[in-house]
Amino acid sequence: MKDRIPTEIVEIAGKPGEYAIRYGEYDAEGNLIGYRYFAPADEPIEKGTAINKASLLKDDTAALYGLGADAVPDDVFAAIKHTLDFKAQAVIGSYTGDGTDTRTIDIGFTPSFVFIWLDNANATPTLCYKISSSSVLVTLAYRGHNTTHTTTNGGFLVGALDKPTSGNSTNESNSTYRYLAVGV
Amino acid sequence: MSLELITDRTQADYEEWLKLSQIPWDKMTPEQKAKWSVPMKGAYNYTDLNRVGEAILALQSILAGYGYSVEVDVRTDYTLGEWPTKSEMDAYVQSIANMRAVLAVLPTTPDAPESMDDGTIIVWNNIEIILRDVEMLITNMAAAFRHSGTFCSGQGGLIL
Repeated sequence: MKDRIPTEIVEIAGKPGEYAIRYGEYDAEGNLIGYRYFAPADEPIEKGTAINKASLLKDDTAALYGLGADAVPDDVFAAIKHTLDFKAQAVIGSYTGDGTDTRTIDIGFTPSFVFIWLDNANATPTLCYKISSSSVLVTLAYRGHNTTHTTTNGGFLVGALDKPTSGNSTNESNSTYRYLAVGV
Repeated sequence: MSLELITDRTQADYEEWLKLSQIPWDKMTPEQKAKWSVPMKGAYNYTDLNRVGEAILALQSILAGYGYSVEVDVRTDYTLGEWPTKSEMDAYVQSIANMRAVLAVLPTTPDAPESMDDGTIIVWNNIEIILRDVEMLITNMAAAFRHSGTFCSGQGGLIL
């Protein structure tokens, strides 16, 4: 943003560094009658914050959002919203398996990656990662097994569909699982 | 704010410097030696580089306080007998151009020089006229600032 830069000002007599600005006086037909110079003369005890580039949007602040010197505050508000919309989200949580084949774990956003592991120090994480807008690839790394799940809005799926041959899945009854889900 | 600037170099200043430059030191009169011993307006030397550098940095600081970011790269510590490098002079010229570009300038504000390779009195004056104009424009700009509590959004007319 830019500040207004007048060319017609006068320094006020007896007040070095203080200026009055020229204004035009017009008649009802819009004809210029003459010029007069005005400045506040209310002797404030608090001058107040100047409403200008320094208080509204400095160049350095605009640059933080990838904006140039001509940017206005509204541009920054838009950039902030854009950033919020596309920020990475991550959540760590746990659930106890219930043995069902398809179960939704609700985390409040659709993840791009999910690591799931048994709450066991020797467990190898299961990696689920997004391969399209509507599905995730689930890899049980320690068994070399892959399968595809449909993603859900606001969460991810676990269940016996992850079961490669027998025994291990991401939703066995009474097993405690931990997960790290990341959305970008 | 009042920067120390030289904007009134004349052909006579240059000719006086040229004349003295052709006289060996031991042939100079005491008056000529006195003139030669101080920075002469007819030449561009380390004192000019330092003075302009200080003015640019001062303006950069003031502008930063008003929210304007100006990239400059100047030195203020040149010494007698030191020759600036080509890259330093390129940065010097670019700094002046950046300073000229930061605000809307007057129709009479000269263009920034493209280089210092063929410096003339006009170019040397113009450099400092640019800085003088920017200094004046900053003063004018600040004079027009309105303050919180003195107006409402969209309100026109004589609201100071």
